[in-house]
Amino acid sequence: MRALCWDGVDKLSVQQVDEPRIVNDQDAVVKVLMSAACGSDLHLVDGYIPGMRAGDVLGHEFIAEVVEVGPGVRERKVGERVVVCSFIACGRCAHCRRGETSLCDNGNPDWGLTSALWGETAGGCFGYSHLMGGWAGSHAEYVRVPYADQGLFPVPDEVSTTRALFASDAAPTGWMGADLAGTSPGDVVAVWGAGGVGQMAARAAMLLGAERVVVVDSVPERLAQVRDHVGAETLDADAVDVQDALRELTGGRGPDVCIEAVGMEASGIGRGIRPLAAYDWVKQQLRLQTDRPTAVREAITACRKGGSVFVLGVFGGVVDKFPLGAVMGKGLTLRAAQQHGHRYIPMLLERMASGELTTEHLATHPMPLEDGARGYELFKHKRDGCVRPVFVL
Amino acid sequence: MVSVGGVVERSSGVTAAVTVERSRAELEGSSALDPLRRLGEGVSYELRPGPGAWGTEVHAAWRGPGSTADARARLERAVREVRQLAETGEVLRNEPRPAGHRSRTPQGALVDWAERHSDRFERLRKAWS
Repeated sequence: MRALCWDGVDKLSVQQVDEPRIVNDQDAVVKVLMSAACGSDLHLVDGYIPGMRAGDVLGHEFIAEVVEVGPGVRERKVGERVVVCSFIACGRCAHCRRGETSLCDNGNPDWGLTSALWGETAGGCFGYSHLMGGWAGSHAEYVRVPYADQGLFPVPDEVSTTRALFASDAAPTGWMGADLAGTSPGDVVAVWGAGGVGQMAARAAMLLGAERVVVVDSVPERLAQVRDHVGAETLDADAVDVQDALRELTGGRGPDVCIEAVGMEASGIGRGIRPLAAYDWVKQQLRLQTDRPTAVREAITACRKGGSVFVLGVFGGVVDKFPLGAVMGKGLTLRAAQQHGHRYIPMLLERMASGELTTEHLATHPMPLEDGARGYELFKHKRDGCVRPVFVL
Repeated sequence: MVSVGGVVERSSGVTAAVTVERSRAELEGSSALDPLRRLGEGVSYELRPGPGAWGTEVHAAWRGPGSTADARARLERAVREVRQLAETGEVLRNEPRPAGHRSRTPQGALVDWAERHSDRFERLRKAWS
């Protein structure tokens, strides 16, 4: 079959690879219908996530059709159109039963690697390095899905394939950020990053009752999407001082909830001289820190006293100049997680069916898998208004 | 004292522990404990009720022959397989899997080696403390 593979830093190619097969009884094999590139994939492409091996198949956000099920699969049937949660969760361990499915104890066979890095084992994720289980990704014609009864979600007939695609990762990630940050009716919520996850976090905050939601970015096309498709307010970081603007917008308090949806390659965009952003970039290039936490710092600085900050962007290692004093001094609640999609996807598909949640606009660049390398190039450099390349198989 | 989910050395050997989302009664006599039983007489284990809603703690100790590093890795893998068998009924495998051309590079060799020996990396978490 064809698959888009990582060949090294900034090197991608479509190759012929073996088709997956049932390995464990609870597996299914699915035929991919669409697979989206996610902003977090760029960290892999750019070489900032250790544990990538030349030949690894990329991709974790996808919608598919079930073509084969193992003898231990009870619920899913061949022929169903399904959204696949990007994280692999057994549904029966202590963390899954608590709804923390990205922390599943059983979904990552390479458990020792993240245990060494983070003190405990992270869950498994499709196409996201050997740290996260070494699972082959979804930029391919077929994918093996472990724990199929837990990770495959039938799509209602009335939801289009393109809309449902983003129930795999971007929508549940965004929803989780707004939910676990404690967004409540009447809140002012600020979101850093107007990519797919940031837009979904903003929409989730609105649906959870926030009174005002404002998204910070500097890419005009993405800010326009926020206004036109999400219905939230925007702040152009190239045009205004974000900290001043958020103070003004909240009567001097700061937002109740601040959601970071940027991740480890924050560009440090914004008006004026940004010494800490430059510092982050230099230190990351010299591998003296693994991640650039520029947007996290901004969110912590902006948040009101006693407020809540949620980190949705992917971070892998250590950062410098982290404002722990502000977290302490302002009494902030700081949380972060990879997406616990299993607890949100059925609800999100219902909202997609009712029209409350729309996502098609994110798929700015549908294209065949053969154009995968070009798609990532457009996405990485935000050329041609690219918010998400979507590979149609 | 053994910490939940952790590994500590005792003068008498190496220990490992996991918390399993099953009751003690469900685990006792279960074939889920076979990965520990297969390690032989040099391994002992104990089932203790976890606090609150935390299922059952499986504590295992290695007093058999072999190097400490080998023992630690084998014991840690065994308790995790016990947990998987008890909770899901099978041990999840990530191979065989589709992959493109695996070019021979130092980084690639390192990743391959790290994945084959991931059970030996668990101990490195102590470097952060």
